[in-house]
Amino acid sequence: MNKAFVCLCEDVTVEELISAIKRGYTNIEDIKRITGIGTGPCQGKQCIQIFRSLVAEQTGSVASEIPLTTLRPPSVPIEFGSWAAKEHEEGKQ
Amino acid sequence: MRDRVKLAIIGSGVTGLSVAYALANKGFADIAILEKGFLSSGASSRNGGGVRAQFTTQENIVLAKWSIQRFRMLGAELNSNFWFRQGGYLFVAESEQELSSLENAVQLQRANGLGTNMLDCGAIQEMVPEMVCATVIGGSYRKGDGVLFPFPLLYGYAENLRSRGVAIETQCEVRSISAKKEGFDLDTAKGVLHADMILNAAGGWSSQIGGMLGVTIPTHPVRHQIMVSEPLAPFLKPMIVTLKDGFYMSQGPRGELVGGVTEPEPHGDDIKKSSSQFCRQISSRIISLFPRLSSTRMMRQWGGFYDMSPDANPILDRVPGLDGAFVACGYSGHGFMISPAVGEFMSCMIMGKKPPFPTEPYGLKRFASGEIRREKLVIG
Repeated sequence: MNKAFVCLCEDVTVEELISAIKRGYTNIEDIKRITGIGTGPCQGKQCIQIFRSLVAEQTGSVASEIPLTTLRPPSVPIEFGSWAAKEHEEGKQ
Repeated sequence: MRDRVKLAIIGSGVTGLSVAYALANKGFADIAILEKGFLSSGASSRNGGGVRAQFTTQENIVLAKWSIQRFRMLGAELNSNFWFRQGGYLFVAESEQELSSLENAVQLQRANGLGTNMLDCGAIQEMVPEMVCATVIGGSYRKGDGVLFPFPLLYGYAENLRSRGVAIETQCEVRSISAKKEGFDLDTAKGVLHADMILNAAGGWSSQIGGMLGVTIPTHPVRHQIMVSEPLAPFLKPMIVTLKDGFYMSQGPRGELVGGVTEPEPHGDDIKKSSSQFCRQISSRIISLFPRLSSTRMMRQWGGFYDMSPDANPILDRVPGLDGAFVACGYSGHGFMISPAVGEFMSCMIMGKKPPFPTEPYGLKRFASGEIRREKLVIG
């Protein structure tokens, strides 16, 4: 039992990741959807490399060959107010 | 991979899984589900989880009403909690025209046994105290509508089906299909599979699969975007929808806000593409209705698509001229919410039984007859 956290934002542990992989979900996008890894405020910036290494180790592949999860905006959480101000500025041009 | 099955289902989205589940419950489990990406990698794992029966066509209302009853039991059956919360859907009108279209919809819904009610501005304000109702003139509300969390339902289906002997082959694209004297040969990424029957449940790719069979399926995928915020203390019970701009927003069980809006520009069909225009547009809308959310942060945006049919109603039919071929697609943004009924509908059709719904309104022939009733409440 390995309760070490891999994803600090969503509280995902080594054990949970291994359990998903053992259930047959070896695609990184599947594991993301099952465990929620990388979907918190840091959007995977802290955990993605450890996550890939762990998947590689469990599936007998190389970390660099495990694809990244899809990168989506915003790169850091941004307030609705800041987005809306930008919309307003552009509207005036 | 096996080389022979009774039924090959193309697409492991919620449609393919629901049909396989309904069939397995009737003792028909000789099925292979073929998926070109990872499990449910199309629209099913990208949707906002909204489940409603407030529609403007009888076609959608009856399927959604049946489905909501099923969703209430499915979690226990699948031993998978997908957080189905019936906080209701509140449709908001900001013009007389919108209000009268809602009144017409409510009349049709009530005639079909739904307890939808019209609400005045005061009742709306009471239901959603945080919302600025300055532009709101009324709305409609149905308590039984709600929101669920798509992933546990999808994975719950998949694990249940696997345990009953249904094969789910991911990374297994279907490259071509040839109709044989009996059944079909499917050339896939994992080899050739012979199937007595096939079901095209490929969602946004269903017209391409139709093309492999030489049949025109009149649907096309349109990209839509959606976003999630950081979690907040609970303040929003119903799913809010504004008719003016197709804006919708709900609050999830952990407090996060999930929402989308109709984008003014043509969307394209690349679901991996994101636009900051969407982030600006939805943020402005959120703040206009909920000024207190100005300092709440958007955490992530993502994309998916609606498989649009010409009348925004589903296509559930036999493929004309091809015995043993079936198609279920064209949900136009509502596939997840009507999937239990679609599962029942198609499982009956595939087993040669009469579905518990009228079949003609969902048939491909309706487009040729020219008598189509268009679903107006396509949101997002």
